[in-house]
Amino acid sequence: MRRRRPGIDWRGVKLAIIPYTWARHTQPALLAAGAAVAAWWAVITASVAWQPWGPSWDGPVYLGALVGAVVAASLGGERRVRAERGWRAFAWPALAAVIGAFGTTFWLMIHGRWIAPLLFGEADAGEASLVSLRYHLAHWLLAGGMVGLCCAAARRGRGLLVQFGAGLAAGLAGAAAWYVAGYARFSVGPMDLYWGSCVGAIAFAATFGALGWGLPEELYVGWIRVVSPVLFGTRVPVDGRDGRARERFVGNWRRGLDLRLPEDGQVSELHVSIGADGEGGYRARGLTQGRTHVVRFLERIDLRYDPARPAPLETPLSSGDSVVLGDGTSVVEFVRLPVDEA
Amino acid sequence: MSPALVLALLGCGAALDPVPGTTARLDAPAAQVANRRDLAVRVFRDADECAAVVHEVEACVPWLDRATGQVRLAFRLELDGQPKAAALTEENVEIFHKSQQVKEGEDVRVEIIPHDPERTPRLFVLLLDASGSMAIDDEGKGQTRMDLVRAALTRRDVVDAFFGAESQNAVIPLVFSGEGPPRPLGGRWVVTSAAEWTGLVRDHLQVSAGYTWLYQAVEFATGSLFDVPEVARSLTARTREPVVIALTDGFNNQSGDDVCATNAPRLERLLAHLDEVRRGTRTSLERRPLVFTVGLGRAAWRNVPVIESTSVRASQICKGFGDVRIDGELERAGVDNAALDRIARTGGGSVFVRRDTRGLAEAFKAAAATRYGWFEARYQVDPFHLRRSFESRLRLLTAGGPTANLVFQPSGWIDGPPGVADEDGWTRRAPLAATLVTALGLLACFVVLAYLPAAFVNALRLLRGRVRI
Repeated sequence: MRRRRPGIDWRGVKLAIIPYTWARHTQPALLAAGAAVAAWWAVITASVAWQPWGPSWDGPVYLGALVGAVVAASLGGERRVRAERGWRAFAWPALAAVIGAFGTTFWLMIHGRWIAPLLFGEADAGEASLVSLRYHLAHWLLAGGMVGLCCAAARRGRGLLVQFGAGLAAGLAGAAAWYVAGYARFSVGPMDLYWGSCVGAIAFAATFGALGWGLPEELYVGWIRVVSPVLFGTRVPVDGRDGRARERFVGNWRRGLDLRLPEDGQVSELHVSIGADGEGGYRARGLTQGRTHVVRFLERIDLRYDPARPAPLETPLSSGDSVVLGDGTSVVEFVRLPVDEA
Repeated sequence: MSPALVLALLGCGAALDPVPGTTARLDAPAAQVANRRDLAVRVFRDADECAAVVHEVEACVPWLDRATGQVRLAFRLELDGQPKAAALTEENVEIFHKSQQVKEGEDVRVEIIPHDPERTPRLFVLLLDASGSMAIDDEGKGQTRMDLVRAALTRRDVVDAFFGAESQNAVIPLVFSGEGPPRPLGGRWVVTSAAEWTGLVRDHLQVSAGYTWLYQAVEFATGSLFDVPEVARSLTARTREPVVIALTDGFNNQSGDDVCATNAPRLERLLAHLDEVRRGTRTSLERRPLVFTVGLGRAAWRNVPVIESTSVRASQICKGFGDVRIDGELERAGVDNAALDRIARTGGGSVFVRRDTRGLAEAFKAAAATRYGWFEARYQVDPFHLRRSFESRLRLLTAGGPTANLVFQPSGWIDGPPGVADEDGWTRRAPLAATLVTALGLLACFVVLAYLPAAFVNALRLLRGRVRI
């Protein structure tokens, strides 16, 4: 059991890692969007400052860089929060995925330029300077598909369909944003493909980041933490990193309890247990006839033991729920913290 | 080794010139074929070309802003490959975007901005009609046509235009009426001072008898005149450039029997002469005059067609009035603006038709306007028209209509930072650092958005007493 450090106690939710709130699902999207902006900036800067390539390379370079950046962000983001694999095991597949995504997108777009007029039956389809959603949509979908496939390949096929679908959705979102933001007639102010390409890149990356790989529940584990004045901040993990279900007992029994609270708060010797259900969820079970409430927003659940019932009452727990024991002076909270905290 | 060079070595460098500050490129220029001396429009393509000839490189380099639909090109006139200063306005230059003429209107702007005012002295040849019709008092206010001309020529602003401060300009005042070459006003071939000029016009500009031998007078003023010793000295002594301004109040009319159609072969001869002295190989460069025409009165013809050729048909200048006598009949309709337009076009100048002293003064000032070394042509169209490769073409409204063009190949995917708007609404190149500002701003937003929920959760927990400070 850890002791509370003096000074600021941020251990409840650590800012450096992602708290278990709904907002955790935005983190991969924001990370991918940031990488996309960096890639967009690099392409724009190179194109404006040096223009080392012709107009027919603009699209392949832009989408290729975007795809590479999003793949790198998605895989790198996962590595950041799932640190069980070594760097070497991560780096080679990730590097191969990034290079493969960029190279394949680039190569297919370069050669697609010759095929497009044949497919569409229109010479305009091959014009490198033509700004057209009709002729560019396939490129966006190709880019999205490549992101999904390459990320899934680097993850050894896990979630292939989800990531491929997310990639296609990202392609659609990117194309729509690129076109609408880049077309002055649709925009509030004067817009062009500077903003169009920027917004398109962000939409593409954020969509894939949000849909392609979400932060899994397995990265968070439950803790019981005392929030009443006595023993404030004392906490115990409900389960370990081995994934096996465990149960923690809270009361005032002097020996053998996982979390012992003071006796003067009408806390029973064996008052409540909080355990993992083995499926990623947690439950609280009342073990005494003394007062035992689980409190959450607009809800209060009475878990007092009823001798007339064959089994104790129990309720699922969500992160942030409070468990009030005895006369109310003893309160513990249930929080889910990143597995690194355990 | 620069990235551009690396990529060029890899074989992906394009034979296209970049448009600085944008992601657009310029197509390779078309090969120019010049088989005779001629006026040409040269459009500057890049900073190197600009730096070689102008100081304001930033204004000279082509620019394209797809956010606002603005396009800018810079050009100068060249005669036989040598720079030729000119006084151009929007009326002298036609701009075409993708073969469509760009005309000022709603959401469409056109502007010609001159740069580098020319200091080369000029020799103005003022060819004034002194035929009998100049004694007519059109308004009935006791002021004849000649009085209007006299008043215009002695106005301070007109005199300043001819003899501007510190200029070394000179004026040759010639009057014509009847057969024979024009005569110098007051016997003075060359006038170099404003005071002398004013006195000369006031004292000697009079109406004389005779018909209007306009074409003969123009031919003389653009040819034989430069053989007169005083004139030749004046031209060469200070390397003055000749500018002929011909004023008349009617039609070329050499006898009482002349009908309109009679003028067609005469005008054709004159245009051939003008074409030769302006563009032929037999005339030395310093003797190539610019010819402006000024009509006093109302225009006799409406909707004069633009014809660049030197061949003239009666139907072109007379419409259905080829058999109508000029003297006493056709000349009552007004000034032969069709013929004056052909003369001015072939002469590289402009035509003005004005009815009063002020209008005449404006015409004289325009003809004597300061010339400039190079120009910016700016136009703004619907940004929609910049969403594929396009040609911007300039066409000078003079004989031969020299043209020049640039073919822009904008990117089909990305753009550089949008231009920064000046006070007049035209945009100029934004610094490349603007992209960094954009990117860093967005990244900062993402970082804030990433940490905001965590900060919010901690703040809430702090308020609820779940954490303590």
